[in-house]
Amino acid sequence: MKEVNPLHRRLEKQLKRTGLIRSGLPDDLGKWQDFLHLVDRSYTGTSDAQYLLERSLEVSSQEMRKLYEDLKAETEQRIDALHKSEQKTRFMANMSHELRTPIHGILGSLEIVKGTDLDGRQKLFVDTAYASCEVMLDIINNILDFSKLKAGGIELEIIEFSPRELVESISGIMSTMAQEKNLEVQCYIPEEIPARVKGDPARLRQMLMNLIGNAVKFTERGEVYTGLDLREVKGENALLRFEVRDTGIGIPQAMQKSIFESFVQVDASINRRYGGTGLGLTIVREFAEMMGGKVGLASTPGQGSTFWFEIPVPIVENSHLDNPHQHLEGYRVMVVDDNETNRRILENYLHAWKAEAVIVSNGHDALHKLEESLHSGKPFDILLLDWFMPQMDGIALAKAIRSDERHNQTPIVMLTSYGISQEKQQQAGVQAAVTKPVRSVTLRDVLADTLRRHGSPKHNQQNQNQAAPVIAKPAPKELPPALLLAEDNPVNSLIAITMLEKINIQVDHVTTGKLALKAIRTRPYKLVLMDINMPEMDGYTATRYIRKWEKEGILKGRTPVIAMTANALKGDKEKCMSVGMDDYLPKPVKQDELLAMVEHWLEETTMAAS
Amino acid sequence: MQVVLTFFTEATGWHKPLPDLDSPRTLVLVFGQAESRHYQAALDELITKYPTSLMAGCSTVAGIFDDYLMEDALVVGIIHFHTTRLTLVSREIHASAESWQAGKNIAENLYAPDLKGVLILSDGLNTNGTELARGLASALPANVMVAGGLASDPMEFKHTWILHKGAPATHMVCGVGFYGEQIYFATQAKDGWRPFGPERTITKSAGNILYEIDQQPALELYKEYLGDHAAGLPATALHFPLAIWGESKEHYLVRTILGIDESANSLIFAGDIPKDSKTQLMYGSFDNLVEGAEIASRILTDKLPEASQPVLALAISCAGRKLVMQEDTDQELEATLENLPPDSRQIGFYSFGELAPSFPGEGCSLHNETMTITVIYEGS
Repeated sequence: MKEVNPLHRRLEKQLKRTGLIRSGLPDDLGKWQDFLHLVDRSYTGTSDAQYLLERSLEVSSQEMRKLYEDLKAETEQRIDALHKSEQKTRFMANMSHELRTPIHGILGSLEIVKGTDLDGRQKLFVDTAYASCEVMLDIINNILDFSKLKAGGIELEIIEFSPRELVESISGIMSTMAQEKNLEVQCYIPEEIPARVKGDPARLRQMLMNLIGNAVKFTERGEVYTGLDLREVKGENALLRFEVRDTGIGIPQAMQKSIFESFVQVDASINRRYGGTGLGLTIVREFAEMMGGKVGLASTPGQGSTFWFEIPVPIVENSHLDNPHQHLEGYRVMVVDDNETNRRILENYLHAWKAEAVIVSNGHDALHKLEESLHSGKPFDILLLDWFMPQMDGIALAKAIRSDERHNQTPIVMLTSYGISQEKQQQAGVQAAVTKPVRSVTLRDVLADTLRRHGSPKHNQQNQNQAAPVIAKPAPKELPPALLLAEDNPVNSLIAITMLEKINIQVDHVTTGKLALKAIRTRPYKLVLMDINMPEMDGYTATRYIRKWEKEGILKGRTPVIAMTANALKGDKEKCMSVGMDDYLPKPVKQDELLAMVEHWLEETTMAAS
Repeated sequence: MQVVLTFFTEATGWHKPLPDLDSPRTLVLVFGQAESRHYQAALDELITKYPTSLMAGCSTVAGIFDDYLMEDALVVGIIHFHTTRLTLVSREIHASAESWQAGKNIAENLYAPDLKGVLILSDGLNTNGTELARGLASALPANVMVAGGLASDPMEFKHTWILHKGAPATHMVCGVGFYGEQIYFATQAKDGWRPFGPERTITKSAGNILYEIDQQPALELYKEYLGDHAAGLPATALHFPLAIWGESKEHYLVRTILGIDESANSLIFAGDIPKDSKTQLMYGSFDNLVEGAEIASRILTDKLPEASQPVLALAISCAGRKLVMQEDTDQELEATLENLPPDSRQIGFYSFGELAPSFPGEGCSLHNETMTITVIYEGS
């Protein structure tokens, strides 16, 4: 017999309530019935409760499932939005870059034309065209800088410059802009302003242009005044105050605080009437803060506004006697740029500054000229390289130059469209960088500044070179391993190159399949990134040739080829593999994916080689 | 303190003869059927017998006589105190909007520094119990215990009465105050229901109508929980009340669903449902409810200063509990009584809303589906 001991508390109670005992049979049927009744109630109650708890669990799990789905969907949307905003920032940067290149051409050409003999009418038109172009460029610069600011990718380019020249040149443009409105334009620069200081004149110029542009835009009659003031001098440092004052519509008190925020304009109707991007003042504030300064404004609606910013700068020179035009006289400068317009513009500038210019269009010619200069005993004082060139870009050229110790002392200035990080500059042995489009004053200042800091003293240098026997040393034949990018679309290639900056490898860029084949025959590559749709010869054909030449021994080893294509259709991958490609990257290319794939194949090649 | 409990039925007359205990320190408690016609003679007898005593009472679906449920009887308790002073205050209550004022008024009239406890009986159909409780609490210090309930009828919600000057009257609320140093007056409420499932927030309500829980239509959500039981609404709702948690999250009030409104997707309760409070669904089997009553009684007994002294237990339980427990309702009366000291007596009624503190130190709240027990005795 199984004895249950102790009984469940409830059962114990039920027995007690009905007058039954555990160890004996019921003597009374009535009591037994009562007992059963109570036990039955318990069972019913328990199973009802259980049913309800199960329902509750069901309801809760349904809710949790829904919550999970909602959260998942929301997270996906957020990630998507993040990608989109990343793309947008990048797109804006690329777009501005693409727009700036032709403007560079226009500005440079106009500057040349300005230097020729013009009658009054022609001069007026050229000045107007030049001023309009400046305004357009400033808008584009604002967009580019704004997208860079958002991405945190801005570095100041600190060089020596003359604040007086800076403000004077701007007020010249301002006069042209204000002409059609019949505004009086005033500019005052006191005598005690230091002759040369250190700072980022290009950005200061952009800040002033933004303020002046607004002042002219919002002023119907009266005057626009630009002033430069020396607030204080502490040892080697000066605090400069730049001020733009107008007699325009003014800004309501309530808006004065938020006017420096992005996209804020006084009201929507202002935007319709006056246009504008709403980015200008944000950029002024951001730059001023980056420079360790501050911005401010005072305004009375209907009477006008005064915008100002104060920037601390180190003083380089306090005298005013120096003639900046003499800084470059007699120096030998080599210019390397693939763009013909650029070459012409740069040559023109250098001639104007009485420098001796040697102009070449690619890296190979440059290396050749360098070699020649040693033999002829006329070494270069400074090299001016364009970064973005096909085959061998400016960085690769700089590295090649620095690999030869005879050229170690020659300073290199890099022309970039996109800015270049200090770190990258140092890696490539570059002393300074100038952002395109180049303003003549800025370029002159950068060249002079770089020569002063890094150049050899002119006379000593010549004597030394004459005395020292020139030992002809063959230029390094074996070029370092590189990556070949075949891509015809400039935006895509720029994106890819920018992404690949993360990996320390030389990237050669070509725009057709044919050029890719030409490149691969001139130097070995570790990896080829091949676009499919390209003019002249597509990626499939180019890859077939590469594989054929490898088989025939025309090319050494086997170079992996990765396809990059927007045709993310089924079967594309198979086709890529069938022509001898090794991998496949669908567009739009994501940085992580690109880097992971490139790194993977670079490793493969290294392992295969060893 | 002398306690004599008796009852009167039409068929058998007085269960025990009425004792000679008339005095201003005597309280005569009367709980009887809503239909009072047949008891008029008995009531008249009480008036004659106890001219100087205080008489209080109300209608009920069932009176409590020790551990018996008396459905067709007039349950009477004659309690004679030796030292305790008593006061009776009555107020008319014509609309539930007057409830707060009535509660406050009664409390103010009863209050004295030596007031120890208050028993409240109120009209079952015209009282907003939540407001009445708030009114009472507003004018009484926290150490004065308030217990009581709303008069009931046989679940018809048609007619209830309060004893006023010895006669059944509607639209009345009365309060009995117990004063003095010897009187021991302690109340405990316990329901036995079990809150379960996720805690939700009342997002839309008005008075005793609940529209939305967590922004979802309340009736819809309620039905989803009930599953098959939803078919029996509104009757089955009695088995599944809601717990309304207090701000401190330590105590909840039980709220019974009296009706549903399909068109408004709402639930109608026997008490106010404050917006923004947290709520949980509850379940309770017969066993849980009996256990609740038992616990209430045990808590009280454990606190008694003299464990062996017999007490008078004033039990006010809910008419809804009686519906849930059906013919076994007396089990909860047995459970309460058997946990009190030996020879204790129990009198009370099944109400349309119980009044008692929901935790020590709180004045008083309206409860639904709850057993409230008040222990009374005079120390020496």
